Amino acid sequence: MKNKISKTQTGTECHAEFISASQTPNQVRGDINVIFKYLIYVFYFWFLIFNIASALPISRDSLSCGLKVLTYQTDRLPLIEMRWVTYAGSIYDPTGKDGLANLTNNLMTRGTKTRSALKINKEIEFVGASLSDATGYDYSTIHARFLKKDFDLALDVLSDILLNPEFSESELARLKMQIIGDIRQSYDYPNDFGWKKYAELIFNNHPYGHSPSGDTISVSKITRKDIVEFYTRYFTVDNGFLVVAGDFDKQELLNKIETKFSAMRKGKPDIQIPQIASAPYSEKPKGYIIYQPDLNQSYIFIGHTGVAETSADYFPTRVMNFILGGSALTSRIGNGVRETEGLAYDARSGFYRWLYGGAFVATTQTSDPNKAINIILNEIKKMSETGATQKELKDAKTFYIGNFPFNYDATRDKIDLLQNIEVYHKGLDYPDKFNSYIENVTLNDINQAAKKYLYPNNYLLVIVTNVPKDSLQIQGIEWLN
Amino acid sequence: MILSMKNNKCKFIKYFCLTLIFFFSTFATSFAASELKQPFADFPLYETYLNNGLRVLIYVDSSTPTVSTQLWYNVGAIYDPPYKSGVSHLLEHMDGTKNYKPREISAAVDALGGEDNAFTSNLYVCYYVDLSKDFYENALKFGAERMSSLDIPENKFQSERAVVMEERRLGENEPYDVLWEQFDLLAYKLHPYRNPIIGWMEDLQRIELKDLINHYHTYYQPSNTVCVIAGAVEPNDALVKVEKYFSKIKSKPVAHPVFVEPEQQGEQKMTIYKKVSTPAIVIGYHTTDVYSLDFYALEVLEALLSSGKDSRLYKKIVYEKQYALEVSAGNYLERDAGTFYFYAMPTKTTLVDSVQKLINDELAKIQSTDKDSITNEEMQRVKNQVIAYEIYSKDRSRGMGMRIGRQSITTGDLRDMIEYPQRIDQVTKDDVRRVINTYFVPKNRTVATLLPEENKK
Repeated sequence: MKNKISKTQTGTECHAEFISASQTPNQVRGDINVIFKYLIYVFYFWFLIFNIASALPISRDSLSCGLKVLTYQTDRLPLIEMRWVTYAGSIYDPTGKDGLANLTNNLMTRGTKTRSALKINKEIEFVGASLSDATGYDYSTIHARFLKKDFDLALDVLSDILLNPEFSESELARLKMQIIGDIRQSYDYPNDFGWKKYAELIFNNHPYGHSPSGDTISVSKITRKDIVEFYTRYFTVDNGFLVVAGDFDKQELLNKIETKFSAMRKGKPDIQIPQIASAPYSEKPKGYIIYQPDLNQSYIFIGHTGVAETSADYFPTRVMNFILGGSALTSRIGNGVRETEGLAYDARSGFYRWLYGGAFVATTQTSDPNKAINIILNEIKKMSETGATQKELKDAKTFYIGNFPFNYDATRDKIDLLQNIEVYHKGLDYPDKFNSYIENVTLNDINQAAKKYLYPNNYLLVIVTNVPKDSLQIQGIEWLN
Repeated sequence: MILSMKNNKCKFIKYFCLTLIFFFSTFATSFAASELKQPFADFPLYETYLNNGLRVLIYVDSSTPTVSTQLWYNVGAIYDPPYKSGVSHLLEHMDGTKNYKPREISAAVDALGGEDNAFTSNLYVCYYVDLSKDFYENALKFGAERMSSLDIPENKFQSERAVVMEERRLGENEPYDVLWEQFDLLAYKLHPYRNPIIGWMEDLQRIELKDLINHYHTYYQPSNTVCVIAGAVEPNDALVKVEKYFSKIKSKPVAHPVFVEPEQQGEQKMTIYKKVSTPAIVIGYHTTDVYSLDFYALEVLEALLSSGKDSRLYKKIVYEKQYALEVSAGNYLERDAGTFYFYAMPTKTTLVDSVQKLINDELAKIQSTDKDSITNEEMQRVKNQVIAYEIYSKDRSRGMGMRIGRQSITTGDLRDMIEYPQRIDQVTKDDVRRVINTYFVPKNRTVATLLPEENKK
């Protein structure tokens, strides 16, 4: 059986070392001073265990080629995951070219100067590895999972994709057809197109207002030239970073990465994305209705802009929302809509945060929209006006502290944690400081956050519904359409 | 100064730790009435049965900071009473007990930072609570509460049934889900696989509180349950905790009805029309059950056809021909004989038949006795993927626990899971051809198609 003591549990290793010391229990007897000393040692022991156990084996290195590499070393299983992250999300799509970032990132995995798309798939899958790409608002990623023994192959393929993409016309045509098909299909899912409309309206003309996949018209217009320009501008060694988690020797890993990435282009694109502040949607509540008589429920989105991930009020808003709508079973909104009234399978709220802004949205899907909307609005209003209780705050804090280990549980969790630390400037000591960040949130902080960031009278409602507009009774709402 | 502190510290630590070890070992040997066995060398799984029949499976992974505690009840949707489809799933939603009002358990798990949820399949219901390793005992406490003293107030029954009806409506609004529901209804004439796990709306309206209570008393017995604990635990200590909460729960025997689907006599087809952008097709063949050795040959066939972008269906239909947005194959077998299915989303309605033909062509190519109809390289890919996935599956305690729990319910014999890679390794090209010959015949086929409603004549 494999050695189970991982780097995350260096406390356990110390423990073993102490047991092997040669002193006997008799030697601990002594006068009052000795007892006092041992009391100090008890505290020291627990302090040590607590601190060492919480310090994760993570690091951040800058290679001489300029590349930043974040690592999480653990020998618990003979596997490694590796993710390249570029600050090239959909917010960098040029006007009229919505979907360009996504198309570029995806097309990179479909052929290099020396490897066809089929060859990449064959090489990766033959060893049971996998390669996937994703593009969000702020950044795009290419992620590989593989066995430890296949590290050289995976690094070779990943660096080849990043440094030598072919962007062939035939692969571009194939990919565009696939993406346009997926976009069309998203209109079969009310939740998907409801959210798209909601984001478009609350973010207005800000880049967060369009979906990373773009729309069928914009995608059809994107050319190979657009893609090559986007790639040349954004996929540089200074505009991204690598995250690696799993079983490896760090120095050997860094040396190999340095060799592979030394030829990567340098430079940082000079692009300013405007911050979008938390603000009321309008003077009065506004509604946008997408009438779909074939449905048997209404899909509801209520809210306005929110806060950025880097906001000083990150923790107060997070803790406050946990109480308001963090869970469909136990939060105030979940309890009101689902548990008490049985109006929906899911009802919740969330602050979705990105680099340059965020959204607040409460969502549910119900066959009784009037009642559900009323409950949600009342809960938002109540939170904004009277805040939370000490008991709710205490339970929310113990949730976040008890839940934190899940942030570095499986290898993918470790990668996500390091990626978020880097993208959102949280600092490598974030895992160690997390508990104190949570502990420091006061009832006054969350009540102030509720007042400041919830606008129960100035919201936008997007509703995809089988109920005609005349039958929707929402007090004071002005319809946009 | 520092050195001397270290020496004294060591003395104390040693004394302290020896005391702890003594305390825990005494505690364990005094109270654990059952004895743990490690049935497989090199696999850190420990097993025992409590006196009431509860099967306890403890998978030890000290390298994770968490523990997943799972209770697997051997009662899924196929055991719903006639015309009461959805009872197993609705019962799964209930969590009030003698000592905890509804959702107080969820709130308590929240306050410990845990993640709890449950799901119902055709065969089983699984409740899991994942907690940081220091708190996992609470999951056992809550699980035993639910097993021994479920208490559902009538108003909670009413509101939760309404919740499940809304959950069903969500599925009804997704036409691709409706296609699968209609496929099962067409493929099975008698076996309860024909009913959706969530239940038909008409049945949900018929279900009463007493149906749930009856189902609970019939099936939620220790002898009909597997308790899986996966993660950073010491196995004897975990067993002591299991016994603390579960050993006093009395058990009565559970009998499961047996269902057999009569042999299909001819190909079955249906077309449904919905407001969708993209057509979709499900093609299924009745096959066999998990006890059959053919299961492993069908697993290899599934992987040859559809495990990744280097597999046959993707390469031919999505990549080369560009006839479909996606295509997949699946070997869905449980204790009772199941189906091997194909699912595709053709890019245009006019390509639906072509996609079906291309799937049949690929089967015919594999079936051909030409020695290169299956390459050594692709057989090796399938086997390499299985070996890699075995390692990936250990990455998350919840996932590993679920593999163990699922196996403990489907065949009950964990050797089937441990030996899975070897059994796949033993599958030959001729085995794959044989299962195609045996099962993939038109008489045994069911085809359900979803078309955009503008195609309706």
